[in-house]
Amino acid sequence: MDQLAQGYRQAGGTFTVSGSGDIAPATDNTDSVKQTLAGTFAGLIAVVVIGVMFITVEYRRGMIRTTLAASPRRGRVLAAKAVVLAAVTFVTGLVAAAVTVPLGERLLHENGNPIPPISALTWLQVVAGTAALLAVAAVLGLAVGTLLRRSAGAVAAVIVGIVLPYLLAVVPGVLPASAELWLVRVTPAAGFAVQQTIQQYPQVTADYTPRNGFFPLAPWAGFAVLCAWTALALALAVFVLRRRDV
Amino acid sequence: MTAVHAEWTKLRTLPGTGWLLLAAAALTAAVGVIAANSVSCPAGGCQLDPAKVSLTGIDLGQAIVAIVAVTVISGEYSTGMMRLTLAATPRRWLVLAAKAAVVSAATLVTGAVAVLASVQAGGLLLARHGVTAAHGYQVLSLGQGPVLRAAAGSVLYLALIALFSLGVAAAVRDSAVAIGVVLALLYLFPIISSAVSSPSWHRHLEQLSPMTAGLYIQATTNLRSLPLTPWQGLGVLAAWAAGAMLAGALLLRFRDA
Repeated sequence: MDQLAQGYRQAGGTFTVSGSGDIAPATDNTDSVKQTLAGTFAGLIAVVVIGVMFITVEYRRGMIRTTLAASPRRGRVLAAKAVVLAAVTFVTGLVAAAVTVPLGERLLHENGNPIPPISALTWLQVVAGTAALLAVAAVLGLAVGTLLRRSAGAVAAVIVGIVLPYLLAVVPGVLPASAELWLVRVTPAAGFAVQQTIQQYPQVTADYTPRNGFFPLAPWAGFAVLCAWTALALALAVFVLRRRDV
Repeated sequence: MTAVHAEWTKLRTLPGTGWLLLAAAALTAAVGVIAANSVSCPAGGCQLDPAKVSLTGIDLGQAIVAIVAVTVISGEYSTGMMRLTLAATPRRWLVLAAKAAVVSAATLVTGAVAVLASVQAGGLLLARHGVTAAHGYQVLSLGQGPVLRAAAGSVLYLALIALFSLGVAAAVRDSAVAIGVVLALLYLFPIISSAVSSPSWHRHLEQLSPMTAGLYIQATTNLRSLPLTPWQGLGVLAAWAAGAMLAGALLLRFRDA
């Protein structure tokens, strides 16, 4: 709260505030909780590699012929792979995020950094959202790996699709602000909105950019963009896998 | 020389190489065009680096160059070709050196095309979006010393990325893991350093980062605000590339193929 002393009265149980300025929780415009999850990107690259290899290794070793002979319904093979992959990466991500966030918050607190209070629901959104983000990214890797059948190309395509737009949006001085917002709205990088814990206050003038942790889309809406890309890639992968000779 | 010839034949006859290099050049220029087109420089002036904006595509192009470089060595491991290659050329460092020569030559040519197209298109588009003499900018052209340095440096940057990727691939062997390691080392540093609030740590991370420091070579404005000079920055990437090549060469030399 700016301009604290003036225009602030307490009478009985009533607090009266008058004057002009911003009334909002004090923030220094950094999403501390999101900051503790900067390691998500390293985890993301690892799960994308795993997701891609889950199918490309079968192609390299010829195992895919055995797999498809054993279960000729190819769509079902890919669906089974996606379910297993998503479950494993979700649980791993959940454990990692559930450990990292409290630990990071404690370290921030011990070093005297202000941590805006977040509700249990937001906490759940960040932790489960991070796990879901990793799971969906791994499935995107699986789908692109199926489409390309080449490990290097598939891993690079998915990482470039998810990480590079985010990087271009947060590193200052590369692109103009409008392009930055557009990048985190339509590319798979929109999914990182699920880690946002700070809010915009219409009465507070601040730099509401991805760089400061503000995404143009609501958390789950951003996540839905990533899911849409993954669904599209998975549908294409099923289509191609059915049509194509092994 | 025969080793280089052999590697050239292998690279040339792989079905993907030509397409990938073409895509690298085309996408680098395309991203540069999009970036230059999204700029607006109103009458009040603007804060931007015209050379850096038109060369934004290198951020994407490097990933495709990395695919080519990683495949040159990981592809041989995945098909078992590597055993044949090493039987034909038992001096293993020579194999790696020949691969390095061929890949960096191919990257230099691709990079030169991509950078020339980016700078030409960027110059035209930026002038149309208000980056003009009236707003304190010269029209982007290779005739200006800093722009020439940014352009030539970006071509060298791509070649160093290729060598870095080749070294990592020689050390790791598997293509998915190798490209994951390369892109993680390139993209994670700038993201982590943007999340770090301490200015000194931020500076150190930027100085260490192969991508951020390497791309200082593209800077033509506000050079004093950079933690390193452009050529020192490219030197950081060169050190990463040399380290990766050394690790790759040693592992290739002492490991069973």
